[in-house]
Amino acid sequence: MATLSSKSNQELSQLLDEYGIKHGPVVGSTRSLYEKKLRDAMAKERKAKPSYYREEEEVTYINHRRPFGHGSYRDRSEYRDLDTTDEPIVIRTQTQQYSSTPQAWHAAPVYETQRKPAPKPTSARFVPVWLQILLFLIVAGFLVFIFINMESEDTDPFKKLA
Amino acid sequence: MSTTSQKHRDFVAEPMGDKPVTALSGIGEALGKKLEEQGFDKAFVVLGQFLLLRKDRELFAEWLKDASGANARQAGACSQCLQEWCDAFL
Repeated sequence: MATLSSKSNQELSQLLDEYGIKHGPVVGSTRSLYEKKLRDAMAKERKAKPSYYREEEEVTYINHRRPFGHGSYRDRSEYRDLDTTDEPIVIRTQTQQYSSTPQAWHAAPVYETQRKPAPKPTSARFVPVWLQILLFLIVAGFLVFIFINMESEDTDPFKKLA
Repeated sequence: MSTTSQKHRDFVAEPMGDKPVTALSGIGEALGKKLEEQGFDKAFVVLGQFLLLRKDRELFAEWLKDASGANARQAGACSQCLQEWCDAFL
């Protein structure tokens, strides 16, 4: 991102329009004010983006490489340009899709960000969602296993009575 | 702001002519000096800046705070002063 001070007055004016900032002519006395407003707007935009696990909002994550190399990963219509290029691919998707399809958490995209103000490269949680679900299934499976064994034990007392 | 100072009323009552920048409501000695250092030595020059910012009070107040170190109250008073002057004479 080029520094704002090197942009022309017209370019600044266009940027202000893009960010929806109401402004007058960009001239000598107004320039520094508008540069400041643009910097604030850009910083705000960067801050608003890394909201990874919010249900209500759109999810933006950058895939540097194909996570886990799943072949089915390519079939998903959202990931159109999934090439192993050096450029990070920013893919926007609804978190609803993310949680409903079983493939989603399996693929577990590595959330990497190149933005400076981002707190951590990984998500805000200590344990990623897919791992939590996996652990949950393991625990549930374990409980089912115990339950089944309990059932077989239950038949013993009946036998004894008979 | 419903209550306006005498300074405000005096300024809005007539064309500003060559009044100094300290004649503006909210602009005292200290702020006036800072503005003069940047070339805003007359009230009409500050008016020029207000007009360049499309008479947007918020934008002008922000500029004034950055340019002179005015606080929110002072910047608000000045912007209101200029706006009312414009409503009457522009």
